[in-house]
Amino acid sequence: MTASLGAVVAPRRLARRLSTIGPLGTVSAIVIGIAALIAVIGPWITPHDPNSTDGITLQFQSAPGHLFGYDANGRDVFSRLLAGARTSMLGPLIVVAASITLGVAIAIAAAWRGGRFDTIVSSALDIAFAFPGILLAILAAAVFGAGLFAAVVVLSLAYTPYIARVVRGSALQERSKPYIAALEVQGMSAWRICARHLLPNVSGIVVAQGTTLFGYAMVDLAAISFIGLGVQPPSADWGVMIFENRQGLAIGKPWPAVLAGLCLVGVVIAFNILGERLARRDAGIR
Amino acid sequence: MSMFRWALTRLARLVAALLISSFVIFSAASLAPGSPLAALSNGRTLPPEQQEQLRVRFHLDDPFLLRYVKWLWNAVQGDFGVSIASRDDVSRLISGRIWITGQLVLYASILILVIGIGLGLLAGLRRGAADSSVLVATALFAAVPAFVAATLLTILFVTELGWFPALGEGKGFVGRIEHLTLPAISLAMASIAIVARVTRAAVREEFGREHVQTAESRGIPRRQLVRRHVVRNAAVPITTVSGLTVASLFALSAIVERAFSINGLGSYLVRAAGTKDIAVVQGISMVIVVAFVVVNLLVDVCYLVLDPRIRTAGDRR
Repeated sequence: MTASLGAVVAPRRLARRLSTIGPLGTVSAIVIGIAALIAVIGPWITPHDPNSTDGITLQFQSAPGHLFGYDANGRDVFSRLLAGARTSMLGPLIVVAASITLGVAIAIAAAWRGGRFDTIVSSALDIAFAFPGILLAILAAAVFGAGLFAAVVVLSLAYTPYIARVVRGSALQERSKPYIAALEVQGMSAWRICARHLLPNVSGIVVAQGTTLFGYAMVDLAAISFIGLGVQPPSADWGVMIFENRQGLAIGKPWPAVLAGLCLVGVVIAFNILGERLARRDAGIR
Repeated sequence: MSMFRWALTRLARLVAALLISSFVIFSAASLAPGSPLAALSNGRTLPPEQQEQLRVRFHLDDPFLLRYVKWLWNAVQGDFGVSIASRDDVSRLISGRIWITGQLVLYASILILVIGIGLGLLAGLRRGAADSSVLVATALFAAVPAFVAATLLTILFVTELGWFPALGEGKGFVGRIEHLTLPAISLAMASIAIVARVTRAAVREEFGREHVQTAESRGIPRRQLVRRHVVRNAAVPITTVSGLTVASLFALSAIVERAFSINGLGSYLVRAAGTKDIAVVQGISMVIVVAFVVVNLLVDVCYLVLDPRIRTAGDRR
């Protein structure tokens, strides 16, 4: 995310920004940038149609012009990896955007109002925090039918407490600072103070937590697709690809499944590291 | 008095969690698009007398809240209704599979507690090579999802080395252990890494505390220092993270059981969700939530043992 933002920022400022997250953080940002780019343009640069079963007689075989050969259904593995980036990253993007919107709204309302309202919200968050997202997603699939949509909606709700908890702590700290009281005395409306002053000052921790949650959401959504309740075949998705090509493991042709797993784990690690570095940077500023 | 109050608030919280999740689980079914009857009959059109039967069986003519209370009352007594797919009692279907999942989760929990805390203590107490290799390894393993771990372990230990059977749950004690080893490792891998990292951080933090440094300067033997002053105090955050990860295993086992074709609660839950067998999904979800609450109860008991302040003054941790 930082990398794609950086493209519009002047190079020197970009270098300074990257230096605050360290070399490992920079590499992670680059990995995420590449993955995001492939997610956007992937479906147009695939060398073959990712759903064409041309090689149905050549399951798990290599072939000229097919970088990683054919998968269990005779489709081009490389093309499916490229096309899969979009489904694998679009879901988490929506989950993170939705849970940030909801979580920040709840957290700032709780921190601003304080008192009983805050107590009730906090204990509700504690209970919701404990409820496993995967179980909710399975429940949603049972009710609304298997598919990416239900999983995304439910995970957005399940991740809201992760955002709200962290942001509430940060917002409470900020709320008690004198400048907020000064603005209140000046008669500025609560809405305006929250939107113009409180929100920008907690945005660092929101971005850091959102980055980490993006990685979690990728894992959870891929897992749901892996058990057959998320992205439906024949759509290309890294989680689905691991499941589809499982039969290759037993016959010594593990590469289609392993490559999809590597793509997933590589991007998730990048999000984890970047999230951690951003959180550390935010703590350093405070 | 204060300890009693502490126990009471904890208990109230768990009961609240149980009630709220049961409500979510029950009401999810009524959120389903279309009539509840259609959901119950799995989209098939039934003859009127069977429709009537279903109406009576599931109290469909009652108001929503009353239905929930009736469902909960029956569930407490172990009656989760009848599976649409197999026409069998849900509780019978659950009890036939609960042990295999219980064993898998137990196996994984032991791995998490022994290896996770062990590696964390090792890295926390020793600086240098041991510490940095644990840090690097846990950073990697924490990012490997259970189903990717399952794939990689299968390649290495089943296809290449042939040490373990690939699928199923095995017969007899040895067979069961043999079949559940790779699933348990897959299930535990990310949690081991998380527990190890938190343990290491907790140990390091305690070492930095003033009372530990004072004790060190007083010449208290290291062994005693570590046991009485460092590990004792670090035990509270370690218990918290262990409890959190172990409690999440019940839901995660669905994925691992699918990956290794184990006929446990989790894989049955996934299958039932796929066929919209709502009564089964509700029943298994409730079992998972109850297991979750029980683990949290155990964690609270651990706090009671570990933190004498709760017993005497009832301070917040």
